[in-house]
Amino acid sequence: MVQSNHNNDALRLSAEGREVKVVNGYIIIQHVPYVNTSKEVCYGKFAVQIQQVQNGMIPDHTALFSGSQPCDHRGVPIDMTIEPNANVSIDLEVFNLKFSRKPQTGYKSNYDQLIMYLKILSEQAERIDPLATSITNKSIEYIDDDAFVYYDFNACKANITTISDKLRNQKIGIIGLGGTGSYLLDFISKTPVKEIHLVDGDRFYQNNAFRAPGAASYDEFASQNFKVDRYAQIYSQIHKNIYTYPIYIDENTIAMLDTLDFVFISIDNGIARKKITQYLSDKGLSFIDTGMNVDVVRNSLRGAIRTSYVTREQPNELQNIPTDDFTDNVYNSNIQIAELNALNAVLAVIRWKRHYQFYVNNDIELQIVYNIDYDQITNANA
Amino acid sequence: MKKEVFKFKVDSNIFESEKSVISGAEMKSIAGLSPDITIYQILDKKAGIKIIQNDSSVDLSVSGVEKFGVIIQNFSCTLKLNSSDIQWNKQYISYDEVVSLVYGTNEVLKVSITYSHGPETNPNGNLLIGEIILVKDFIRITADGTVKS
Repeated sequence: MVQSNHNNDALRLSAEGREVKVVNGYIIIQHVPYVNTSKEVCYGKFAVQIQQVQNGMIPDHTALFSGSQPCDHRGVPIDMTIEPNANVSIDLEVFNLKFSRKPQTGYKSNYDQLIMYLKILSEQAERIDPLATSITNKSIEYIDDDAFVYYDFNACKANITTISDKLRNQKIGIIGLGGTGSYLLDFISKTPVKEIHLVDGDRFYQNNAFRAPGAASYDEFASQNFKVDRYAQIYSQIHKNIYTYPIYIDENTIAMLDTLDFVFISIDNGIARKKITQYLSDKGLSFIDTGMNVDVVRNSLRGAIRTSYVTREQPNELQNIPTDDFTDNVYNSNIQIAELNALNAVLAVIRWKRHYQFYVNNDIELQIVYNIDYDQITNANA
Repeated sequence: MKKEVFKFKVDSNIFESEKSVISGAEMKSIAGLSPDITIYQILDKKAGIKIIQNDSSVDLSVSGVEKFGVIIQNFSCTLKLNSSDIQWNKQYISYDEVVSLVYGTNEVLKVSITYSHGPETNPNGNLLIGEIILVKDFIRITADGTVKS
């Protein structure tokens, strides 16, 4: 079954007149009537993780609640709270309670799950105020701001959506879609960033296929599409907001970078690298520059992969970023291997995620170098 | 009132200076070393060394400025440079010297240099522009113009 970005359970709840939001992998229902310990009717909010049905039921039957302890009509607490201090933040709202109430057959859908929890609370509220209901039929707030075409069950299942949220509102730029840039896109497209902007004036040729994620078909080479268009077409299958610029960055176009939150640079041209990195640094924009060198020694390959990290607070690495083209040097080669491009992208994406505290960020590595010769990573720290 | 003195260590010997800021020549004099001897300061965070010239000014009051060493004369070792053996006749090597060895130029090229299996002062790390490290036999050094993507 094709999973659309429109959640059918949320749509159904919304169509029934409830105030529904789909945010960060959760379905949230607002205006949920319940009874507090003072036997007053109050209104709270439910949130449940959007889940994939497995073996006929959803795996997580719990629900989060924003409000005080719900009671029956006599003011006696309803015994289903398993975490009184859950305090999960979703969409600037703190859900303080976690409930557990599971029918023997489990829940077949998020819809069934939410209707059950709504019923448990609203039935008690209706005994005090017959007009208490979650159905308001007013300004239905069905919102789905997810960047993905289909839901990120991976993050939901691992319960790390609040951590992934740290990346959510970013506008990311990838300059250069060669081997490293294409792997950067592969990884970044699987994060909930708001927008991904691809910049490259080159076209996709047969040699590119051997340094790109996935497998290109032979027919693709005849069309000689711009790399940005080719990759946008593929990755728009998972990420909604990919923008393409089939150009090279120069004096006339560089200002397009001003609106980005974070930029990845994966280009071969030293002069362009110098201009772009200097520009971004002058603007106080955070960026990661990637690059590698591979050459031949005793009929084997050796070399290194570099990831340079520059921010407004830590601008020092700018002076170490290579901007020479090494055109007249015996060490100048254009040997690049897919796994080295992929590793360069991996190191860059991990550094970026550490910047935003997705991963713990204890040290500030400004320059990360993996050398092939000794299978070793060394860092230059702030 | 007791006058403040500034302690510093050259190799394993501890010395004192009444002045917080002294020259390299003064430091050698206090340590009983010939002016012809080359000394170095051991930098924090195992980030290599700084050569102290006779006319260099050293502020001993600055935190972390206290450990120094004497460069061994007639030193010789084998560097594993980009996986090839290179004979080297100094106890230290600078960023510029690595670039010169690998690229055969005295131009200031921006390259990525790493080292490992180094002496205790700088066992491993990245050698950046302007930096110097101590070397020992079979220290592993790589230098690459990492510009391809």
